[in-house]
Amino acid sequence: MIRKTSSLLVLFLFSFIAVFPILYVVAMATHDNSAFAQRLTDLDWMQADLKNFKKLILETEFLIWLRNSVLISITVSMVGVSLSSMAGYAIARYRFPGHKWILRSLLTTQMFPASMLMLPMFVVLTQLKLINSFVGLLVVYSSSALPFCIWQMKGFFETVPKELEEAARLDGLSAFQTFYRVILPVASPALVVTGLFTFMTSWSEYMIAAIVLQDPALYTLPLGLKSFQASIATDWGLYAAASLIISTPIVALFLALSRFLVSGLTVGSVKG
Amino acid sequence: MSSIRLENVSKSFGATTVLKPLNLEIRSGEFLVLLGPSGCGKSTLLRLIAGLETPDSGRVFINDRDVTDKDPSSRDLAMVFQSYALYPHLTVGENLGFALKNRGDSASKIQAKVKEVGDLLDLSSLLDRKPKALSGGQRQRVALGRALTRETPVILFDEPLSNLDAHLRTQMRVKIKALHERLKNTIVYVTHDQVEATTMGDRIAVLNRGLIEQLDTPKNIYQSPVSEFIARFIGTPETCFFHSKINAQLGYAEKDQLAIRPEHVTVGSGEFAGKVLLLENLGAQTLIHIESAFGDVRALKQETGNLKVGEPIRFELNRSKLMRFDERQRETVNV
Repeated sequence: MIRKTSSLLVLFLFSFIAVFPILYVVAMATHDNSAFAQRLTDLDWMQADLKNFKKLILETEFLIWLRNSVLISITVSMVGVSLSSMAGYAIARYRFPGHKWILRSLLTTQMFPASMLMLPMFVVLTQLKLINSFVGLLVVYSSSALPFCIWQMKGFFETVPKELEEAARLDGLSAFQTFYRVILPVASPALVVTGLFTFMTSWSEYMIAAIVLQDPALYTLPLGLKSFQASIATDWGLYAAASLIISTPIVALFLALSRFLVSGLTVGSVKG
Repeated sequence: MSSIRLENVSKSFGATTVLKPLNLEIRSGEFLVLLGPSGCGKSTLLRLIAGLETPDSGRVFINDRDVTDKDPSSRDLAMVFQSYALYPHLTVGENLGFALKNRGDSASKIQAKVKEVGDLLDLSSLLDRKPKALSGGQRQRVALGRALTRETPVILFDEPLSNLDAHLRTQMRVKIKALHERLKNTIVYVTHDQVEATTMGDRIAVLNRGLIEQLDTPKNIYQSPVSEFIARFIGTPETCFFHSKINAQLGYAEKDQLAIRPEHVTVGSGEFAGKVLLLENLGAQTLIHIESAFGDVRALKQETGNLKVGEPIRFELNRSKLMRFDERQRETVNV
C-alpha cells in the first residue's frame, strides 16, 4: 500500500512537472499579455478568452505559415518514408558491393552536429539557386533525416522473417511486388514511427529554415513564431496561442497512431 | 503430377559444404520424405528444389524441364514452411487466395477455391480472422491450405509439424497423408522425426552429412539399413549395438559391427546371461535394459511379471535378424 502510494506520488510529481509549462502556455494564450508576469494561481480564469487565437488567425500570416509547414512536413515525411523504406530494405536483405561502406557512411553523418553543416549547406544551396525555396528546404530536411530513418527501417526489416518473402516468391510475386504487397504492410509500425519522426523534425525545425527561407511568405511555423519576438515588446499571448496550435497536430498524430507504435504487425505470421 | 530429378547437385555456404554432389529422382505422385538429423542438408535440398537456393553444381529438373536457373514462381510448386510464414496483414481467407489473386484469377473463382479448401481443412469459420488470432494448429492448417489452393502438382513441406504438440502432430500427419491419397500430388517432405517419415512416406531418403545415405521404402530402411548410421537413426526403441569382443562367439569377424532391434531379443530363457539394468514402461510394452557381455542389450516384452532391476536374466537373439555392418558400412555410405 505504502509502495503504491509513493509510486503514485512520484508519478503525480513528474506528471505535474511535465504538464506545468503547458498550463502556463494555456494561461498566456487565453489571457492578455499581463499573464506572462503573473503566477498561475493569481490569474482570473473567469476572464479567459480566445482573443489571442482570433487575432492570430485574422491579423497575422499564421495560416500561410501553417500551410507552408504542413506542405513541407508532409512532403518530407513522404520522401523520408518512401526512400528510407526502400533503402533500408535493400541494405537489410541484399549484399552488394559497398554495402558496409554505405552503412558506415550513414552512421558517420549522424556524428556531426547539424550546426556544423550550416555553412557548407548554405554555400551549396546558393550555388544550386535553392536558397529561399521550399525545394531547398526539402532537400536539406530529407537528406538530414534519411540516415537515421534508413537505419531505423533497416533494423525493422531485419526482424521480418525471411520466410514471408520466400512464401511470396513461391506465390508468384516479383521482388518489388513482394516488397510493396507483403513487406511494406508488415512494416507499417516502423513506417509510422519513421513518418512521425520526419514529420516532427521538419515541423518544429528552426535553424535550417531560418537560413534557407528569407521571404516571410515562405516562412514555416517556427520562423513565424519567432517573428512575434520583437526587440522592444513581444506579444506573448499570440506566441502562446500559436504554440498551442503548432503542438496540436503532433499530439493528435501520436494519439491516432499509438496503436501502431505499441504492437508489431508480424504477430502470428510465423511461429515464435 | 510432376516428377523431380536432381543431377549431381551440390551446395556450400562459404567454407561449409552442406550438400555433396548427389542424385535423386522423385516419381510423379510420390510422397518422398527427406529424413536426417539437424544440419544434414535436408532443408537445403528442399530449398534447391523450390528455387530458394541455387546449386553450386548440378541441375534440377521438374517434369524433365530444367528449372535450375528458374525463379521459384515459375516452378509451379507450393511450399509449407516450418514457421507457417502466413501473411500477417491478411485474413485467413485472403492468405488462402493470395496466390490466386496475384495470378489474376477472377474473384468468384478465388472465392470458390478458398471455400473448398476452407471446408477441406475445417477453416471455414476462421476465414475472417488474422493469423495472430489463430492457434498453432490452425495456423499450420492455413499454411497447408495456402499450398493446396494453388493446385500445384508439387508440394514441398519443410518440417511443417515440428512446432505442434504431439496430439496435433498426429492429427495433421493423418490429414496430410489422407490429402495425398486423395490428391496424389508429388510431395517432398522434410522432417527429422522418424515416426513422421515412416508413417507418411512412400519412400524415405535418409541424409547424413550432406549425402543421401539410403533411399528406399520405410519398411526396407527399417529392416535392412545400409549403414550403421541408419540403423542407429531409425527405430524406436533404439537398435542395440554389441561390443566387438563377442563377434567371434556369434561367428563374425571382430572388425564388424553387430546390432539387433529390441523386438528380436527374447527374454526369460536362452543362451546368453545378463542382469536387468532398467525397466522402461512404454505403455503396451516394457523395454528391458540388460547389462551383458554384449553391452547394453534391450528387449521388448509385453508382460514382465515380477522382473526387478538387478535380477539375473537370460536372453536369446533372433540370429536371422542380426544386422552386420562391415568397415565401409560403418562410415557414411553414398547411394
